Amino acid sequence: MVIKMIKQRILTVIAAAFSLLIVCGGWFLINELMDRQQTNLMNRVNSITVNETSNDDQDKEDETGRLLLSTQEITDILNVWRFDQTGYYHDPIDGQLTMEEAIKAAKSGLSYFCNEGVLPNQISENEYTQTNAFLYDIQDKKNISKVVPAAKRPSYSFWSVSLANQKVIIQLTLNAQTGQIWMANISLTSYDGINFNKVNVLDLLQKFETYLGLSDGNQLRSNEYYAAKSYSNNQIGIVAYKKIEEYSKYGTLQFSLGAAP
Amino acid sequence: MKLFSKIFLSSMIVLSMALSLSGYLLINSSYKNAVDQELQRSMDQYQYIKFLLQADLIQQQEKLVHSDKSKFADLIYSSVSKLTNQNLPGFSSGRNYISVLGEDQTLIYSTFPSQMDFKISDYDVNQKIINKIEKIQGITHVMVLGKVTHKEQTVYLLTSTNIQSVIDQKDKMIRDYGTIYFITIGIGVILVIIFSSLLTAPIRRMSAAAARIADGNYKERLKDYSGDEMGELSKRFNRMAETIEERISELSTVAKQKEDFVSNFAHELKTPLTSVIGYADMIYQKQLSREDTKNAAAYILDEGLRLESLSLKLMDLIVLNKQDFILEELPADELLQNIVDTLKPLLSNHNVTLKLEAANEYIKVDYDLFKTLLLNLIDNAIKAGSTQIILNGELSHSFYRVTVTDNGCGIATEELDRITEAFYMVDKSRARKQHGAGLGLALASRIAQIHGSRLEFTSTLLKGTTVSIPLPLKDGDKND
Repeated sequence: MVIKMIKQRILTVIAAAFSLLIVCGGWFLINELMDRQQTNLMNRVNSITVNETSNDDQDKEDETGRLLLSTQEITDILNVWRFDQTGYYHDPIDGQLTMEEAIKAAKSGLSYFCNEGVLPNQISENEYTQTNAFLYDIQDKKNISKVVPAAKRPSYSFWSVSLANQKVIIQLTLNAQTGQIWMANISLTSYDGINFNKVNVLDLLQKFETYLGLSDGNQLRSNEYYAAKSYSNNQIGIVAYKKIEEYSKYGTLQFSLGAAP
Repeated sequence: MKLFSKIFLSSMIVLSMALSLSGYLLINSSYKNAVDQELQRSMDQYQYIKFLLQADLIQQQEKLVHSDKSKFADLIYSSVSKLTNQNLPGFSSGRNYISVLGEDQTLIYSTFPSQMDFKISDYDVNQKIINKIEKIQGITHVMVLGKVTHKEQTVYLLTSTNIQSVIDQKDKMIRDYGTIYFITIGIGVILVIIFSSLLTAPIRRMSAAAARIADGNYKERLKDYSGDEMGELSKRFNRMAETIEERISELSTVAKQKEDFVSNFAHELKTPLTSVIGYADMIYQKQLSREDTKNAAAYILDEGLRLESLSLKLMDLIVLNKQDFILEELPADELLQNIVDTLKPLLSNHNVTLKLEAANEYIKVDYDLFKTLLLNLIDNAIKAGSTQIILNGELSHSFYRVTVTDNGCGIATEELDRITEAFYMVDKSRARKQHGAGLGLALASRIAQIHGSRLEFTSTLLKGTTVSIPLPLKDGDKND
């Protein structure tokens, strides 16, 4: 009987010790697993292939050799753009403009509007001391936790080109495939002969329509500072807008392609 | 091992494993997400710097002569140093690092510390950008390496982003979780002890009750009945205790009966033997007259006959207990008439009248045994001083009831329970005079049992006794 009791007590002590061992073991297990995870992460080398070949073989070009997107394609891109605002930088893939081409396309686009007389000539004639360009992708946002690969569809990426000097800051968004300006924001930082007083937003809107190759627009709305027009059953639209402040010293001019206004 | 220890141990295993696993999954998931975001941020930062560098190179491209590598390196140096001094977050403060190397991996520009494990030559960055987590001076960074090509000139761009905050956050999470883990385990231990005690309490009470029953306290019962399995077990335990108590009581009764049997048997054996020895000694020792010798011999004969009767009936009892009997279907009226005919001389000797009323029905009996049973009952009635005996056979529900009714001296109610015990005699002196050994009713009772029946007595002192034997019928209730 006494031996049985002693045996019971020994077993109870062993059980208690074993429980303690399990508790501490559980804790060490967490630490060990986390250490292994850390080691794996430290040893892992992630790589992203750049300059991939585009699968999009159905690109169309206009008579000047410039690529064109259908209205439906523009609508699709704008829909993605509207809902996925976070962009991811990447290197250009086949079918997309290089940085040099993008900057060239941006300057060429500005020249077009200046030559058409809807923008002050100084905009294209100015020397810009600071030029930057960033290519970002607007798709594949579901994989936010992973390192995002370069865009598979060239038209879903955009070049954000900025040209600046002491007088003016120009921010342009160009479609990476077509090189067309989809959004432009021109801000005057000081009065030095450039102003937007003579800019007619309606003329600017019409030239922008021609520049994009859009037709069959409807619902034109305009006033002195604002003009808007929609296309493709109000799926897309273009907007031109100007803002002049403090005796025409500062001003902002904006024109963009986007969802119907 | 005690049940409590088993419950405690298994609960601790489950709790620890569940907490460990969930903690690991939680921290790991959070850590991986944070690391992935930091990797993405590092890649973005690399790409951002690369674009800034490329844009600056484009702006200054007129200064670049295609084949002049040293000029290109100078240009790169000037661009990167301009970038790091201007607007790159973390680079001017020394949190993040940047390095540019020529195509031949000669260093053009670097803000990295001189001691560094990361070697560009270990990685292939053709058409690729790679990233890897590295420690620089004990601080965790994400290294991103790729090539920047401009006008057929290529350089390696290496950036590092400090992600030590993610590692610190992970370590803090582990420490915090450690606190939560041990507090939860501590609370778990207390709860497990409480619940284990509550769960095992009924078992402990049951064990104690079983021990008391084992010690002979057969009246021990469990009191609380919960609605769960333990309550059901308690009920069954109590039922088992009741059965044990009943069986023990029965065994005690049987043991007492056996003890009484042996005691009675010894007494019944000793009484005639004492007489026999005494009279035999008297004949042997003394010179007796013819008359006295005859009287002594008569006593010896009388007691000898009683001993013979005793031994025969004992033999019958033993045989009845050991033998299997085959019952056969016989007409009850004929059987009873036959028995009455057998008893006629005995009845006439004692001036007793026997009236027979028997319904016609087949009953399953062993003829000889059943005859012995009825002879014993009628013999007892005669010995009780009856002048009239009624033997009745009638159908009663699913039984054929044979009843022997006499008008003898009757039996006291308190004696009725014991009259079928061996050697039990209501009036011992009268029984001995009539060579009775107290075994007749014991025999009759055993025979009734062999016929699937029992003896039912009703008696009134000085008025008579009725003994009833309900014999089960083969086809059940005929009256129904």
